[in-house]
Amino acid sequence: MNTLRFAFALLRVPRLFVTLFLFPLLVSVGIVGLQLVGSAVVLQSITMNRTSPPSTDENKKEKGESFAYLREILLGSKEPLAETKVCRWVRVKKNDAFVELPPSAECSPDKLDIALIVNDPASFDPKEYLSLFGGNAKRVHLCHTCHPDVMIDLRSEEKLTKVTSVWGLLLLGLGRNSKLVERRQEMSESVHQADSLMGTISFKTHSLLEEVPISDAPPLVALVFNILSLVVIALWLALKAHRRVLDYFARSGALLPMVAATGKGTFYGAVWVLTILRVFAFLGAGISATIFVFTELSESQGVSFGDSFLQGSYLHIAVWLFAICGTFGFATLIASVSDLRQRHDWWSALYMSLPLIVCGIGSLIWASLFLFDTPITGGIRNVIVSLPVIGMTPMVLTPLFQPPLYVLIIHGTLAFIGVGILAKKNANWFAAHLEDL
Amino acid sequence: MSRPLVSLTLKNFGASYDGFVALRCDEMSVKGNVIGLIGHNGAGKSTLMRSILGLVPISTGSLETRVQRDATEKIAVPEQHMAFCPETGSVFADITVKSYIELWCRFKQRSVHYYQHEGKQFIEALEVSPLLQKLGRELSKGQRRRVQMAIGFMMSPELFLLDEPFDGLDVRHSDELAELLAEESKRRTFIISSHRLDVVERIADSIVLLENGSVRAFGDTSDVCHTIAGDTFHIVGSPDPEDLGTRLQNHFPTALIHRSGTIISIVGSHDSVGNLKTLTQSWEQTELVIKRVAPTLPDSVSYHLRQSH
Repeated sequence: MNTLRFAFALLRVPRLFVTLFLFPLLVSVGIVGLQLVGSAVVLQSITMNRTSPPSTDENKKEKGESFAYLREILLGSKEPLAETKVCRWVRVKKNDAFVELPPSAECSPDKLDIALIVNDPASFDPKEYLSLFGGNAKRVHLCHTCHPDVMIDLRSEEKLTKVTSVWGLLLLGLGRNSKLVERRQEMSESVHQADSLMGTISFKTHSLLEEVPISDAPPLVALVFNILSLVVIALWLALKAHRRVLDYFARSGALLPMVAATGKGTFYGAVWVLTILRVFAFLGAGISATIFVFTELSESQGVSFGDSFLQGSYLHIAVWLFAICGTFGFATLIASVSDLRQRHDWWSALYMSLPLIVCGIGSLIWASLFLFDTPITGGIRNVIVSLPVIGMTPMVLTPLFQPPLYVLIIHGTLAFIGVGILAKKNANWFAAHLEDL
Repeated sequence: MSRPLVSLTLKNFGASYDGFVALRCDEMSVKGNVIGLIGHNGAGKSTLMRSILGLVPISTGSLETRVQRDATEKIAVPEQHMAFCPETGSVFADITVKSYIELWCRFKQRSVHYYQHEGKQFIEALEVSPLLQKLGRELSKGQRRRVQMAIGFMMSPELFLLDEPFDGLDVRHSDELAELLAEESKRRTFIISSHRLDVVERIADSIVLLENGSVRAFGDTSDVCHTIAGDTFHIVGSPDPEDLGTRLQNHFPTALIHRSGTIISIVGSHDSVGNLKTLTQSWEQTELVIKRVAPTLPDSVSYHLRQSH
């Protein structure tokens, strides 16, 4: 009761409410929101490329739509121009001197023309430049001395383009980017064609229990990534942000008088109440937003998550989340305890990255074992996956590689035993070094 | 009504950090209305204080704190009977002193306005009113300590632990605080750690002297002074006090001898009035008045430190 009273007394001070509760919560929810928007955009574009063939007239029109407005502003027409005139300038003698003039009245230069400055306007072949600017400029001048807003100097090996106005810059972009879109369209068509020839791709070595759905990997990885970030941020709020609260008390000098006045149990209990409130508020917002975004993607965009256990096996999902929470909790505690004890030493940064280094080595060994696929290496892979922190990456990728269920159970159990041991050590050390905080 | 008392009992006590023993004591039992903890930096004063508050885990033995009011004695539980003011004081940096005091009042007295009524006397006595609208980060160390001290008094503790309360205070503020503590000692007990031996001597009736992580002496202030320094003598009436002082110092090289006007004090000679008279007469100083007096705490501790080094 005292614990709750103290926790709510802290929260009733507006500044403390913002510092201890609202700010970390908003930051976390903001990160998840951004990440969900990013995931949705990526998945939407992947799905669009996959599900609708890009070569339809409708699709092309849609892609060209964005350039139509720019073309209308610059050239007065949404549609590409029917013809781009090539004007080869000529040298004529006038008043005892040679001057360069356009060949006809139709070739009178305009600011928004393209000039190709060449050595010999009469013989230069402008085919490549016409494919770039054709339909997006009224004239292409081949000359020495003409001065429209875009001048491409081709007289030496080193080509040089000079643009003298913002409109010229937009004209250059119109030619350049509309071609890029066309090329991308063509590439997309090739990939789609290849995909249609191969159908759904899966990967299964002899030692893997289930097939890895390569075709559905991007949406699945996005989903895993989002679930993972929820877990990681929740752990950050629970452990690192918890430490920040204690640091906040310690910096003000209020830690010792408050711990003495409330009792250790009540004080730490209240700090944990604040932590739990924050984590629950975050998970409430984060999980509902994730479910909403992915359900929406699945229903309206037809995003497929393959035959992964994430679409149905609640036991597998529960065991996987159990292992994720355990292993990330363990890794965070290792970093946190090291940071706590060696916080004044320069090597504390090394301690903090220790879990990452161990995880990196484990991932490397696990991945390289696919090159030597035998039942024995398959067994070694399972051993790696069953070890907390070392097998963190393959364990996170469980929806793709689907190791046996018992491997995940061992991983989670070992991780939580580690969490228990470290938490106890952390608490003892903390109790003895209150003034060091 | 008699003053309340606090008793501190340690048996085979040890407090250690990561294997390093910060404080040890085979046996100690000290009782008083105001107990002063004295000793050099790192002697173990803060460790003892934090052990009493339950903030430092005890590695061996036991520590028991009891408070006695009239005939009733009970074990003092930190969160129920004690308040603590650290050397640095405390206020959250980004909230006002008023909000900070209200926070304490809300969870300790269950009334956010407690400081405006019952607790007002401490807000005024410690001159906290002008600080109420200031943010914690705007306060000096001394101001933060005044705030935390006022909060401590408002929590109505039976035992108030103060870590270096006089540190950095000028003479006027030291006197005012000493007066406040003396007045409040009628209603509650105090354990005070301080380097200001003159003030500790004024307000403490019991002393614990700590040295290098162990208890060197404890008990009534006068007993402790006597234990560590023996008798003190005042010699008056010398025609040449400076010369007499030099002779005495040569004769008692380990004693602390100092002169105040015409009075010469000898601390730690471990001698008697008779012997001193015989000695001074041998130096042809026959008109001297030699008196045995109670040793002062600053003199006793100075003598003790001199011996230690």
